[in-house]
Amino acid sequence: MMDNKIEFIGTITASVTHELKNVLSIIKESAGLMEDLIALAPENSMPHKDKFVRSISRIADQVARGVELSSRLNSFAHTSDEPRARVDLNQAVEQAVFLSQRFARLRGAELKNTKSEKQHQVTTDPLGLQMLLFSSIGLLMAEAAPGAAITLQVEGEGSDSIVLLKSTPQPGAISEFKDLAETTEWQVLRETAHALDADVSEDRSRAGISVSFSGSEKRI
Amino acid sequence: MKTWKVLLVDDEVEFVSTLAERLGLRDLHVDVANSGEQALSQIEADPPSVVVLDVMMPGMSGFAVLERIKSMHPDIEVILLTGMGAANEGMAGLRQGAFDYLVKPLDLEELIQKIGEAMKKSAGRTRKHDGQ
Repeated sequence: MMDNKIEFIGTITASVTHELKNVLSIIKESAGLMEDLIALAPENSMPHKDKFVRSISRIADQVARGVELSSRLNSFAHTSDEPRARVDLNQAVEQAVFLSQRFARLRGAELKNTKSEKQHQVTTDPLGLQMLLFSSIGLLMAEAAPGAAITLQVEGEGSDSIVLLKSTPQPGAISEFKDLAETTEWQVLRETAHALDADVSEDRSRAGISVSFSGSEKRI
Repeated sequence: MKTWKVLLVDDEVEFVSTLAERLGLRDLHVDVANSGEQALSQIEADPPSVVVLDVMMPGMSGFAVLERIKSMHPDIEVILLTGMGAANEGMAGLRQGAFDYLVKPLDLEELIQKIGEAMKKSAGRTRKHDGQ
């Protein structure tokens, strides 16, 4: 039943984001047409021309933002399509970081990912992986010093690939990294990882969390 | 200098009419259709050189329209419009004979460039058929 519900949410979300894209396309072309017509108007014939141009530019910026949001949400919705699939860890991390940005802003944290040049593919549950990354980010943000920067990067190779989440305190801030393993959230995080045949461990030297997937690969 | 005849096919009426107006301002001769069936009947009456065709439409899908166009008017080039993250759809369209595909929302300059390229290909093929 739960799987059906997840599939249902995924299907509806993917469909609505598709419609949103159509709405954004109409707004984009309408703003573009206004821009075209303003450009064709004779010089000094249009009052408040600069304000119109600025407003159209803002509309274009927000359309681009809306397209990015709906594209990411669409990709996220499709993570529920398959219970197990080949996943590019770089893309999964990029998506988790994008979808967590609002939570980071609310906590005053900076969240970013460093893209690895290598391919890091694992076979896993794509939705479960997003949940694991999202929970790891949440735990790190909750335990790191206010204003800290959280960076995600993929390291290693093949089945030994890991996702490293590390926190860096603001310059001048006192770095006091708590023992994550003692938090109740850590147990939940471990259970989420184990359900994916992955594992999580603290990386105290880098004030972070390491997520490994070697178990997941052995299950193929 | 209205020489390029393009048919835009999309069930989103506001989208396709606004896009047609913008292309018209750039001296393209544009007709619109809001369904696959309507597009096919317009093509029979007045064949364009290039069709810009949305893949996801109610009723006859873009792929079904593409198949009919290519079987009846192989000289007409078709540019598909796909949704986001739908590279698979675009690739399937290319295998079915589409000239190219673009992802919505569109970049107008890119669309105009693609129409120009498709137009040249269509014109070249027509000249060959006419023995010129």
